[in-house]
Amino acid sequence: MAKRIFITGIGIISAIGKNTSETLSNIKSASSGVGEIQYLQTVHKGKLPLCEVKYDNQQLCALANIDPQTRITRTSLLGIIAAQEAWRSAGSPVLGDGRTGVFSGNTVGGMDKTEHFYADFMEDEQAGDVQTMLTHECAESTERIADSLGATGMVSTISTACSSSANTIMLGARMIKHGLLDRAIVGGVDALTKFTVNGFNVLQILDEAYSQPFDENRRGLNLGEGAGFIVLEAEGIAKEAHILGELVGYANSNDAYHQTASSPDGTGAFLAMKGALDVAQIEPSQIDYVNVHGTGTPNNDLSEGIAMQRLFGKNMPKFSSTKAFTGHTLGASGGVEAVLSVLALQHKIIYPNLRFETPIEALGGTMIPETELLENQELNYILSNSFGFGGNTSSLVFKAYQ
Amino acid sequence: MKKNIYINGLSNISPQETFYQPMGATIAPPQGAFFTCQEPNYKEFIQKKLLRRMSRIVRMGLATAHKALDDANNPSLDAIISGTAWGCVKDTEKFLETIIENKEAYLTPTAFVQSTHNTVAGQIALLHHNNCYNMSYVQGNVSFESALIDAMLLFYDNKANNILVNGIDEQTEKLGILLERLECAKAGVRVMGEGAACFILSDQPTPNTYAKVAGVNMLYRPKDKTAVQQSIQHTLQEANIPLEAIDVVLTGNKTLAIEKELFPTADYSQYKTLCGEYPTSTAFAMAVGAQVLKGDLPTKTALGIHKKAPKHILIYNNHQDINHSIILLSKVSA
Repeated sequence: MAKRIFITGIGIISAIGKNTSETLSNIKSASSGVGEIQYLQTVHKGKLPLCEVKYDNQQLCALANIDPQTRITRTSLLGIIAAQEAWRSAGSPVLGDGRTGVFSGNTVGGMDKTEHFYADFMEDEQAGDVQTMLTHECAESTERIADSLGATGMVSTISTACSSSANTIMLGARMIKHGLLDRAIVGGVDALTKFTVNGFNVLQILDEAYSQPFDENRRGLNLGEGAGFIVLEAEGIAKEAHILGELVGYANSNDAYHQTASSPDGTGAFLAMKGALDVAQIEPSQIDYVNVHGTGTPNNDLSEGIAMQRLFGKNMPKFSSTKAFTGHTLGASGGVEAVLSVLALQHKIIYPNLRFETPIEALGGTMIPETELLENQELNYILSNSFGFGGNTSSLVFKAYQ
Repeated sequence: MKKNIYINGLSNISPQETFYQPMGATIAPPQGAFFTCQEPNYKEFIQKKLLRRMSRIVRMGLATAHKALDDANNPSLDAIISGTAWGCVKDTEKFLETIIENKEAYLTPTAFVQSTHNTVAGQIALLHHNNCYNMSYVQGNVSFESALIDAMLLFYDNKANNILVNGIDEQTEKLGILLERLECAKAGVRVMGEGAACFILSDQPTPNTYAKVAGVNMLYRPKDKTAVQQSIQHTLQEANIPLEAIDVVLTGNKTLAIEKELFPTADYSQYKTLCGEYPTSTAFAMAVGAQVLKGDLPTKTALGIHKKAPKHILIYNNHQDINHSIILLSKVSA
């Protein structure tokens, strides 16, 4: 019999707060993090809204307890802040025995620093602070996070676009299940960069207004930044008092349809959700709430909706996209939404899908997300979806602790 | 839970002539501080219209996937797992340069779309219509080892019979300049390389089986030398292989203190003299090591291995005392 895997800590930073309590109170007051660009230096300022973390790097250094003179990326800072919160909420366990893994997902590593360096480098190949490039690789922020925690077990980084951190959560669970680790700090981080903003902009999937996930008139997504980490501990290692929930299902599939677009029949999404339910050994009818990927692009929400209809049939569970609050935090989104899922279990709440007005006609006009905060909910199982470029589709199932 | 894992097919693009046939007697030297891959004729594997838009890393990834699958007699794949530290460097540079040059205007999406680290794994799935598990690890010098460990977990879970795993990194001219400025690349001191090695791993052997992957381990910031040695010993113990049974150590290191103390009588080959230093170089080592265990004599000679019929090969790479990687290969009949 495989060991159960408990969630004993959560940590988050995003446009709606620098920790879990701020996040929760902003959600309860329906305060979205989307707004005019304040921090990123880009020509899109004043035109494209973003969900920025509302601190500059110097302020983030203070929050992370790091000397502001240190050469460190925004990615690392956000990651350290959220991972530290997760670790503290798990009771600050000692991590130096080699039995704790640190797995983080991100999409562009230290690009926030690289793109500044590269402007100098293009003028003159010998110019600029070349040491910056040592913080470019995706793995760098993961190692910074591990070092800040003193963790010496397996450290690894996954980059599968917007499902990256959902996949690190799955990896952590599987490593623990096979007894290779006792504990894993898993999730992910991404900082906003000109690179990603322009990339998504040229793909024409950004909303120039505030995004409306799962709405008939949705126009695209708002990009966000942040980090979300959870602490997974094996049954027998986890201390009862810290247990916040259980991770019972996980699966990854590939849509194999297009490098960036989702298939019209939602194949990858369906297989991921179905696979996660199979691992959890539960029926679709047992899911009480789905935290959908729900980016707000015409393509994603339609494809995801079709996949959900295939899986749930007429018994559609309550669902909502929290990306109207946080924006699409890319590689961090699976971690951010895992934290939100655990918070939902803990506080028996279901999140509103902000700005929803009209159901999607192509989905039969019946897929209506929750639009108000629901409290005192009987939540047993939550399904969380994360899909990314390269056809990468992942789903996780969280269970209330009993 | 623990299972035998077999290498049933492989393909290797490297600075040496390793793609069409096993490495021969002629060894290609580096050019200054760099080794560059000897690439195949991609038109044999990829449609011309697709090829035009693909960067070298995607081409190398797809060609090696195609060849490794062919080599393994085209089993159906249950997972595709990539290891790449640097990712799609060329397309990243291209998009970044256009952003800066054009001041964030007049951009096209192709380079951005292909800059994602999971482009290679995603493209393999797309071209092979594969809806299965698809993962990409980007953990510096243990990216490939991360991919191998993931594959092992899938086998342990009975979720897979055949898994494609690759280790792949590309050099570019700009990256070369940066590596020289960082003093990572220095002619005569450290030659930087690149490569793409792809494996079809299986839980069952076939007549084409090269070797068994008997163990994989990776360490992060180990306390000291002893901790590394203990970990190597532990990997061997788990595979029931005594220390003295290791015939060959393929080492990524310049100083061999840690490995020589454990294996004083083994043959040593510093494989990076053939492929250069790059984060997924252990994938190159695993390819040539597997070929040696299958009895390939030219490869054995090229690696400078004298032992007659090696049965167990240990691959050990220490990156700046931060990331250590251990891969254990065994001959199938052993």
